[in-house]
Amino acid sequence: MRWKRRFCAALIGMALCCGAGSAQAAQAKAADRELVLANYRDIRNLNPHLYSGEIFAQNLIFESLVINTEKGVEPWLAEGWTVSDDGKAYTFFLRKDVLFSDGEKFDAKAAKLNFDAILANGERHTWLEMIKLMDKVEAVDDHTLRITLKEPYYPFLIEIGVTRPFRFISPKSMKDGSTKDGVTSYVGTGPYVLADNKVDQVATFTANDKYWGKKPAVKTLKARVIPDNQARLLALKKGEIDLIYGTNLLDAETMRQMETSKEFGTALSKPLSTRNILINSSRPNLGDKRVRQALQHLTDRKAVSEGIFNGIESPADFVLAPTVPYCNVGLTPYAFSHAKADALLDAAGWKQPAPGKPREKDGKPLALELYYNSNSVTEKDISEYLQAEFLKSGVQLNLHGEEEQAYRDRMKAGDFDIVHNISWGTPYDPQSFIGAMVRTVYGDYKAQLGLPDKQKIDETIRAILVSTDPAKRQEMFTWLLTTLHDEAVYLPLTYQRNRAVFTKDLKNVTFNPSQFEIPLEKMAF
Amino acid sequence: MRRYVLSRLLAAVPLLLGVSFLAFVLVTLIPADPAEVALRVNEIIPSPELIELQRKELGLDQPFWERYVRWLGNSLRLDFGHSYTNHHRTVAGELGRCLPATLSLAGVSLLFVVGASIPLAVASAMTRDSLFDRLVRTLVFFGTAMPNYWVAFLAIWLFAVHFDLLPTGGDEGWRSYLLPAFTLSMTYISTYVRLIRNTMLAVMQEPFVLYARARGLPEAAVVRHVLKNSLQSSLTALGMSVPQLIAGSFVVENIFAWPGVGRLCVSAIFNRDYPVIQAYVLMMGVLFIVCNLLVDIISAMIDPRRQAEL
Repeated sequence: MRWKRRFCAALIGMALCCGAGSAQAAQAKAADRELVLANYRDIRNLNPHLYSGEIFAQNLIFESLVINTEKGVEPWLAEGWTVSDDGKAYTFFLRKDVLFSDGEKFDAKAAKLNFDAILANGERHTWLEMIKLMDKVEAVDDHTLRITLKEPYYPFLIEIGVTRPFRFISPKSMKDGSTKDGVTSYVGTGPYVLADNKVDQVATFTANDKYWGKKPAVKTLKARVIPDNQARLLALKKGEIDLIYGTNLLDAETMRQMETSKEFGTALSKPLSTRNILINSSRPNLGDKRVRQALQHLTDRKAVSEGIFNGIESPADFVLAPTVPYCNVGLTPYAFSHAKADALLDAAGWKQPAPGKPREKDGKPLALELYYNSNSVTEKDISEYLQAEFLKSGVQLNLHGEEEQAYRDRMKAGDFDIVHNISWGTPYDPQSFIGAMVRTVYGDYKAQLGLPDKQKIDETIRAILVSTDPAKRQEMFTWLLTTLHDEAVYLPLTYQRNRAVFTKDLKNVTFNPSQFEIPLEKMAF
Repeated sequence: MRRYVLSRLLAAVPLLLGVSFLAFVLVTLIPADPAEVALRVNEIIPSPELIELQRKELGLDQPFWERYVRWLGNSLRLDFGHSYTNHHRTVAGELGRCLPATLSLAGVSLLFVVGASIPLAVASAMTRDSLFDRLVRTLVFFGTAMPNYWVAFLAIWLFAVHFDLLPTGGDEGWRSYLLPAFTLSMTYISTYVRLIRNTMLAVMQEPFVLYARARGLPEAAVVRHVLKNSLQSSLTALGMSVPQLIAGSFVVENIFAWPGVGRLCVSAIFNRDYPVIQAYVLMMGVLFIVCNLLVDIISAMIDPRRQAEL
């Protein structure tokens, strides 16, 4: 398929060189023009308490009590909050000027109805630790809401600020006070309302005239469905769309190509998540820490960043970037060095019979099985690069591309030596990422089973999540991240960044902490 | 004749059953738990309890044959269940929503095929080995060789971006039909031009043509007779092109963001929306069998030689 991509890239290149079309399109755009963005699929079911809708669209319509920003958790529909000394009770003071777009008042009663609807479908949200810990939700008065937990949970505020499920829909849209079996309309308090959706074609959003906050500059948004990557770029070139946004929609090659174009703007976010390789410590050849550490030294992250991602994704030294809360713990990166790797492998008893041959120990070769998602061209490229690099030091990698679901099943079962992995990304990192290490969610739990400190790791994670003292929490994070780094279970590769390509006259193209949200309400022409 | 039609109809029944079984079993052979998939496609992290709950909801805890018979019975009533990705939409509803777009695109493509291939083939056959004939044959060669996604991108770049004449995709009125229908029909036009031209050249060697010319019939009348006798094989092939146009539209629909069944099927495959995939495979299988049956019956009816045999 690479030749197909190259052919299409060449075609886009031709289109970029040839300026026809765009100038007229630019002139035709009125001052009060609509913003058209492309998406690869329909917005689907926007019920904010479920998970089958497009997050960017849910984020335009529905809002939460607090909001996750680069500076941390900030007030949103709640003007402020207090936390009880034991860390279990959160009292939120709601804004008094908020209406749902259908005219219904947003108050503590409406908020409680929403929480009740979410909790009534609790089994759907078990991926969120806090769901299990929520004890009761009370409307103290018209504008005060109290949520009590069974035990303290430090990421509570972050988790009620993520796009779903803790966002508010008008009580009039619920079916008998429930949202579990669907809603009658998508009415929220957010800056936009859904005006129309032609399924699989285009969704139209208009500015909410009852919006309590700063009114968006763009009054009409259209989300056009264009499933094909190259067709999206051609539509952008023609001026039919103004914006392509997100890692799913733009590959590194396209970004690099568009960066050199004078007609379009590009934007890259700060690192959002870490692309990494998970090394299974419970497998015979990987039980020895020195072998895992040798693999770290055999990986040239800079070469991966530049050779495979054209520099769009920066080299990652740690599994959680130092910019992630609690993760700047002063670790020393593993330097790319075949000499260091060779020394470690020799010390572990793996001897190389001849250059280019796999090392051996007790007559068995040092062969490792690497699994990747066969739908991902990037993972295949990285795997092939690692295969060549590792063999130089006598580590044989056998590559296996598998269909995504089979690959996920294998991860969960721990049936792998090495597997591609990714952190959850902001704002879910670090809490959701470490939370998934104590039980079988992805491959983390099984990969760590061979570590001598596994029990202490799990206990520390549980203690971190319920800790109320930030200093103590930091201390535990430092121990946890240092241990995981030293044990070399995660082989960090690159920091993934969100990306956007847009028409030059579109301003304020920025990024939210969540890579799935698009801050369209801040954009303007 | 009646016996022939009846026997063909009866023969189609086990074939239809086979297709339905394949449509059902192929999806269940995928090495992934559909209950878990149904959770994952909705971005829910599956826990053992959730998987069990989902399994019961989807009836996956029932024995295989029971599930197949129930599915088949429901399918006969056009009830294909609900989509995994959107529980509130029925599969039949989704197919009903997307089918008109695909049928109208296939219809326009068929018009392109008939409208372009007959005149080109006739002109080419009548001017055999001329510059025009050679040009047509070269174009036919390229038209057959070029994959339709390539043609699609070239067409978008040229007509939509460079000349700014047509939209790049979507369904926004008659102008939106032109590029996808052109792309979809190109391979068929090339096939039929070649087929009709070659048959015409063969028919032109038949004694009745010589006789017609000897009788002094005008050339237009001779051509009419030649064409009439040449279209028999093309008509059979054209009949089978209808399901091919419908089933083969998925690449074109995806590139042109055309809201048809092909795209529905591609997104169902990506989302592992098994009920939609099963219904799509069944529908296409039935369409091919029915079209094949109709073409056989019609060609038997219009061909006096076969009528005599029957």
